Amino acid sequence: MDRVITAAAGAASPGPPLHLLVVEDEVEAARHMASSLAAEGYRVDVVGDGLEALSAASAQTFDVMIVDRLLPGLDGLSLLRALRTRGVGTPTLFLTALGTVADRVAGLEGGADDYLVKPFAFDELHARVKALSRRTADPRQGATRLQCGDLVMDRLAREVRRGDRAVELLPLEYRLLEVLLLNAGQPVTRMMLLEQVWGFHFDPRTNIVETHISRMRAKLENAGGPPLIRTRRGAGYVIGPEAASATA
Amino acid sequence: MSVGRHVAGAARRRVQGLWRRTGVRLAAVQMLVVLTAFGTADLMARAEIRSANEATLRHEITGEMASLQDEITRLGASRLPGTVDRRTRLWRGFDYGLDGPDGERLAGRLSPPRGRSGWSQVNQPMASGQVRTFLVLSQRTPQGGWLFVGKDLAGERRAMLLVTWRLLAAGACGAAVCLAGWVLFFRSAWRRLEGMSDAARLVAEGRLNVRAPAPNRRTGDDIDGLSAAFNAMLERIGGLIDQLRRVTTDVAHDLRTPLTRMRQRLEALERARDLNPPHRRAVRAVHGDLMELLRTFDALLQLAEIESRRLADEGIAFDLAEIGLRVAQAFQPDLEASGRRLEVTAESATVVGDPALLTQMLANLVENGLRHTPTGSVVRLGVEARDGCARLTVSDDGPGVPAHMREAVLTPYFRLDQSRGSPGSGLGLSIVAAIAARHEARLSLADNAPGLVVTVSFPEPRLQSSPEAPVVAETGRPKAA
Repeated sequence: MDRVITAAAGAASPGPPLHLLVVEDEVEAARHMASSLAAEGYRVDVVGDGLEALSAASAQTFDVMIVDRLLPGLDGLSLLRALRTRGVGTPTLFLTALGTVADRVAGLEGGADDYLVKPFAFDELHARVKALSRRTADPRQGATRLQCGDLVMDRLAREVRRGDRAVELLPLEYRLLEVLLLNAGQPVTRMMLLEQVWGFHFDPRTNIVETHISRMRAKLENAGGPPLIRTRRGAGYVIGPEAASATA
Repeated sequence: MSVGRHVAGAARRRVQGLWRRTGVRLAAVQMLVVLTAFGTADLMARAEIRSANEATLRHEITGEMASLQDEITRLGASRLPGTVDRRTRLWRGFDYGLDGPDGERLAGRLSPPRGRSGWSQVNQPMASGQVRTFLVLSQRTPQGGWLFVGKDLAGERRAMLLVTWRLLAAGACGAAVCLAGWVLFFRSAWRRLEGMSDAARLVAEGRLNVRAPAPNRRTGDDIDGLSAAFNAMLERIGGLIDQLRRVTTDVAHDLRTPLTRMRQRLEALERARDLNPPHRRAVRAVHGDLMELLRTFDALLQLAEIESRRLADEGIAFDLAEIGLRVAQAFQPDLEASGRRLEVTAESATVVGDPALLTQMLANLVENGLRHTPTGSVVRLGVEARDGCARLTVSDDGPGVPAHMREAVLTPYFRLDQSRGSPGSGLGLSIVAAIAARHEARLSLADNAPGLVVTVSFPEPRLQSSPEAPVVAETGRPKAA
C-alpha cells in the first residue's frame, strides 16, 4: 500500500488525535486534503482504491471516513454498502463531483452520513468532519438541556434563557440556536446551517443566514458583554469558547 | 345529493371519454347509416303496402256495393233493409248503413256524413266505446236515400305495424352487427393506440424505458407500422438522453477535478503569510470568480438533471403551505432589511413531488421578487387549494415583465436588462420552469398591474397506482436515474 500516507498529529491537544480515512483516487486532491487535515491535528490515512479501502476500513476502526464517489476497484457507493453490511458504522462523509439531487439521495441512502460536492472549501470539509466525529459519541444529541455559559436552552419546554432573562425566539431562530449549541465550540458553516435549519440543499444568492444570525444576536447578546456567537470568516459561526480542533 | 351528482358526472366523463375515440365515432356513424337505411326502407314499404291494400279494399267494397245495388234493381228497394240486416248478421267483413230519403235510419251502423257520394274515411264510435276507422263508399239509392258500404282498417293497420316491427328488428340486427364488428376490429386497434399514447405520456414524464405494445406479426396492419416507428423513435430519444446524461456526468467530473485542485491551491495561497496585499486581493478576486463559475456550472447541471429526471415514482405527498411558510420565514428578514415587504397567505394544499425541488422553486421566485423590484416594493406569496389542486402565486408590484417577453424569460440565460453585470446566472427562472414541468404544473407569468405575478398550478394529486394500468411494455433497460 504505497499510497497510504499517515500524517502525524500536529496540534498538541489532550487525548489521542482523531483517526481519519481519506478514500480518494485523485493523488493531488488526496495529498492536499491529508496535509490540510493533518495540519489541523488529525491522523490521516489515505487510500486511492475502493478495494483497498474496504480492507483498511474492515481491519481497523477509524473515527471518520471521507469517501469519493468515483473510485477505481470499487466505487464509493458499493464500498459504503459493503462496509455497512459488514457492520462497520464509521461516520462517513461522501464526496462527489456530481452534486445532483439524485446523487445526494443515492449517497445518503447508501449509508453516508453527510455529503459534500466538489470542489469544496477546506473549512467546509473540516467543519463537517468535526460534526461527524462527534455525532456518535456526543451526549449532547439527545440532551433535553443545552447550555453555553449563562445561555440555557430547555428542549422540552422549548424555552431559552440568558441568565435571568427569558429570550423569545421565532421557531427558525430556535432551530438555528439549537444547531449552534449542538456544535458548541465548533464552527458551523453557512451551508450546514442552510441544510439543517432551512432544509435548503441549494445556495440562495441572498444573505439569509447572515440576516437571521444578526437578528438572533440582537435578541441574545447582552449589551457591552462579550459576544456569544462569533463569526469566523469563511468558516461559519461558533457559539461558546472554541475547543481545540482535532481531538476526541 | 352530491354522491348522485358525482356518479352522474363520472358517467358523463366516461361517455365523453368514449366519444373521443375514433373507433366509437366510426361505429356510431355506421350504426346511424344502417338504421337510416332500414327506416327509409320501412317508410317506402309502408307506402307501397298501403297503396296495394287500399286498391284491394276498394275493389272489394265496390263489389259489395254493386251486389247490393243489383239487389235493389232485382228485388226492389223495400227488401233492402232486410238484406242489409242479414248481411250484417252473417258478417262478410263489411259494415253497412242505409238511410231513407228523409234521412231516417233504415238499417246498419255506419253513419258517415251524408251529402257526398264516393270514397271517404270515417271514424266510427263503436258500441264498446272505442273508435274505429273505416274506408266507406257512399252511394244514393234510387229512392233518394243513402247506402254506405265500409270496411274496418284495423286489420290493415296491424299488418302495417307488423311490417314496421320486422324492419326495425332487422335494423337492430344490422346495428348489432356493426357494434360486434367494432368490438372485434376497433377494440384491438384502439387498445394499441391507447398503449401508444400511454407510452408517449410516460416517456414525457421521464420514464424513458417505456415502449408501446410490440407490433403483432399476425396482423401487421398500419397501426403496427405506426407502433414500430413510434418505438424506434422512443429508442432513439432514450439513447440520446442517455448519451446526454453520460456526457453531463463526464463533463461534471472532468471539470470538477481540476476545479477542486484550483480551489485547494487558491486556499493554500490565501493562507500563506508572505503574500503582499495587492497579490492577496488578486487571489481573493480569482477565488470569487471561481465561485461564480461554480454557481453557474451547478445551476446548469441541475437544470439538466431536473429535465431528465422522472418524479412520478419518487414523488411524495406533502403540504405546499408548509414549504411556502418555511421559505417566507427564511427570506422575510432579508426582504425587510432591503426595505421591501413580504406578505404571505398560505392555506393547506397537497402536492405530490419533490419537496426539496419545490423549496428551491419557491426560493428562486421570492429571490427574483427581491432582486428585480425597487426598494419599497411588496412581494406576495400565496398558496391556495382550488378544487383539490394546489396553486402557488408569487407576485410583486415592481416593473414587471412586458407581455412579449414573458415566454423568453423562462429560457436559460435570458435576462430582461440584458446587462451581464447584474448578479444571477440567468438560470433561476429556467430552473423554476423545469421544476414546474417535472411536477406537471402549469407555469404562467402575467401582469400584476403593476408588477409581475407568477402562478404555478399543480395538477390534482394522483395516487401512486392509477386505477387503469397503462397498456405499455417496459424494456429491460435500466431505469432512468
